[in-house]
Amino acid sequence: MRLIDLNVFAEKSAREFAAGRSAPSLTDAWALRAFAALYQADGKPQFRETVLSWLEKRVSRDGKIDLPMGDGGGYKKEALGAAILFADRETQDARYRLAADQLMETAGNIPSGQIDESTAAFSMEEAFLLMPFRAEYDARLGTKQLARFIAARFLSCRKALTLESLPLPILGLYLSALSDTLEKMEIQLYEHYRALADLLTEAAGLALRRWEAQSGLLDAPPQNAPALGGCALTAYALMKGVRLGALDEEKYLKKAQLAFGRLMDILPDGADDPQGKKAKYACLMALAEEGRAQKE
Amino acid sequence: MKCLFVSARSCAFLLDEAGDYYAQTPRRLVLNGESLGEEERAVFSLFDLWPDTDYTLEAWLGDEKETLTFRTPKEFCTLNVKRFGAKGDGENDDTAALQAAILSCPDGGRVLIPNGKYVTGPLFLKSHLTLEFKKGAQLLLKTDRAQFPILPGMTRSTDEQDEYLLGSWEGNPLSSFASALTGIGVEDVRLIGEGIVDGRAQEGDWWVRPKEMRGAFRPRLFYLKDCRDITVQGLTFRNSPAWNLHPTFSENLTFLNVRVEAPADSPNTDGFDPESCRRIRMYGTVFSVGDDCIAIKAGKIYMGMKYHVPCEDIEIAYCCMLDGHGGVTVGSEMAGGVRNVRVHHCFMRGNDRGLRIKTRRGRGKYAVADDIAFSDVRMEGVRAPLVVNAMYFCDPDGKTDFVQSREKQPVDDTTPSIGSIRFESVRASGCEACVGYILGLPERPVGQILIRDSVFSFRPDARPMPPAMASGVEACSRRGLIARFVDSITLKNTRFEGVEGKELDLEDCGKLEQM
Repeated sequence: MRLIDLNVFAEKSAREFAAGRSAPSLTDAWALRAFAALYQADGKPQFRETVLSWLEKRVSRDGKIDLPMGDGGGYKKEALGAAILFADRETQDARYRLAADQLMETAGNIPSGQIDESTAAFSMEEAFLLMPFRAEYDARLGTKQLARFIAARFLSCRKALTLESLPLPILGLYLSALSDTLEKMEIQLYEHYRALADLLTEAAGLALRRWEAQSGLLDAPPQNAPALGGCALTAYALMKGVRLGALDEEKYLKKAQLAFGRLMDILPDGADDPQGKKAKYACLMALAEEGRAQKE
Repeated sequence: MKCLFVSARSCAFLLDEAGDYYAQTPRRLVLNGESLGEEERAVFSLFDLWPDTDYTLEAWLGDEKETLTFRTPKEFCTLNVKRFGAKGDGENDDTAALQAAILSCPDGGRVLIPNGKYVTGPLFLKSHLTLEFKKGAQLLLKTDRAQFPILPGMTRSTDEQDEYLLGSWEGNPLSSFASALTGIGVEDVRLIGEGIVDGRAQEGDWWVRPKEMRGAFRPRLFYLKDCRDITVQGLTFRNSPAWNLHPTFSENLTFLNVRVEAPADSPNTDGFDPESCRRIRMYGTVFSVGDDCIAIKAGKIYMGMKYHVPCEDIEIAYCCMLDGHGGVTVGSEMAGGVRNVRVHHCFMRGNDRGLRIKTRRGRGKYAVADDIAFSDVRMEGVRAPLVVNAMYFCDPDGKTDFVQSREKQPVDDTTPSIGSIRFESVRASGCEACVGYILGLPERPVGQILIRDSVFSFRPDARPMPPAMASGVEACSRRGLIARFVDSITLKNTRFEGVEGKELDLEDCGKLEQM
């Protein structure tokens, strides 16, 4: 699919999301992340409005988020944190600050303990959905006490990530969680910022080696939604890591763009199941990052 | 009289060992038979000498004279920047011409900046040269940050196993704009003369929203990384965008008769911030700045734990610290340790604090401040002569419980320590807040405080001031020595005059010896 078709695809996805009547679910958090990323990449008002109008209907003036969220997991409304902070930055509407404060009352408790292969899937999605929110809130609105705990949580995953048996989609989630959190961390708390940057470098190298060893992604695209989503997130995270200066451009960018190109040939349009939707939104996030890489 | 330094074109002398910034009595100077007038400073410099020449210097006090002979070394050649196209008219961009002259200079040569105003961007030094500013020569730093190159903080090695550090900001390897004069890995360089390096920060936006990083962190006026054998003599540095003189990971540095100036309300314009350096000699330098005059540093925890390079073997003498937050400060970034610091025969006036040691939990186990001594220092109107604060509320997390708790915390890899601090023959008049405020950590108290042969007196209209920047420290006036969490305090032959209330207010302290 050509880039111009991808942009049309993105706009169509935004319209579908805005018009959607299905019950709220965790995949909505993925969608909002994707459209916020697209807006930050190319400034198109449609993507901004998609996020803001969705939130405006569901966040009351006193900051209460009025919707149940399913799809399992313990995080539910906290998963909307990143989108809420996006709205706060864009509108300075007090409701979003209040909503963020309320979400942090539970999201601010960062779990501790080692993450192993058995808990990796849940933990990595938790990291992907919540860590960037925690980092941004802590750095911009909070007391900057969480940076050490955020770093410690990611470090607790390190052993699990080096396992060859760890599915690539989970590695993709972790990489995206790292790059998104790194972007929001207070850089002057350097020891914690640097811990994440070093982890990102290590994980990125691991991902590349696994891609090349399997000769999967770079020769032929993955065939199921989770694999597709994982690879999209990996491409997204590598491109973002390059943009943040945390990853070497010469080593990672071309391969990430190559992988992105393969993925875009099989975009999961029309997918209605959660995995399919997540894969679609992951691809849109990668599209956003590719757009930024092209501009630079 | 003692010769401190001789170059092909200049020299510096210590006239009076017993003075402070000023000699106890001025001397009349005569050089090779020519009268130079009266010299009132304890350390002075002479310029406009000729290379490879014998000189006789006489210092007269009444009918008595001291004589000293010296010979200037040879010099290979002089490159005048105007021959490289520099205009010095205050308008033309002279960056390329100045840089070309520096890079073209042969070993042992001299780059000469004649009288004039040279608008320039950041300049990079080269080894084995002398850069001389004639009287009236001014470098006027550009004011548009878009024209400044950036020094990246950290660049990974190609194999991703190592790193190359270049830029620095407040103790972390972060991207910063290149400084007016930058030296990376250079040696054997002399920057001399009666010229001025003017950062013109007030004309740009460096002091506007200063905490915001826009593009990169703010540049300094003089920045060194991994350099050795560098001398700066006679120059005036002013209106820096941030810290003024910032040598890092360098050794054998000498500063003679330098002036550092910034408005009192300018943000973070520390005068001199050596960071993880060894063997520094600073004589006869004058500071009047908007933050600490001198702040001896050794990085934050990442740098301390990875490299643990202390700042050590530092002598500061015959200097003058006017206004500014601290006269001589250690920290707060001292994760690599600061040790063997001698401050003697200095004059301080109007500073908030005279000797100031600041650190905090989180600086790391290598953050040891030890063997720091003040002697023969005269203070006038220094509001709190001695402050040691192990709970300094700096950095984004400075006011959190982790930093500020008065309860014992576990001693771990992030816990700093403060060893031996000595004040000897210090005369402080016009104090305001207190004689001294010492706040250690409950889990790791300050080691030893010794104050001997010293006198502290207060001004009658003393204004209250919080003596230390830590949570819960109230403003006070005319207090004596206040200490908490200190192992040993010794006071010998020392007087406090004009204290209201107890002379000693000690809590959770160990041994006290008074004689």
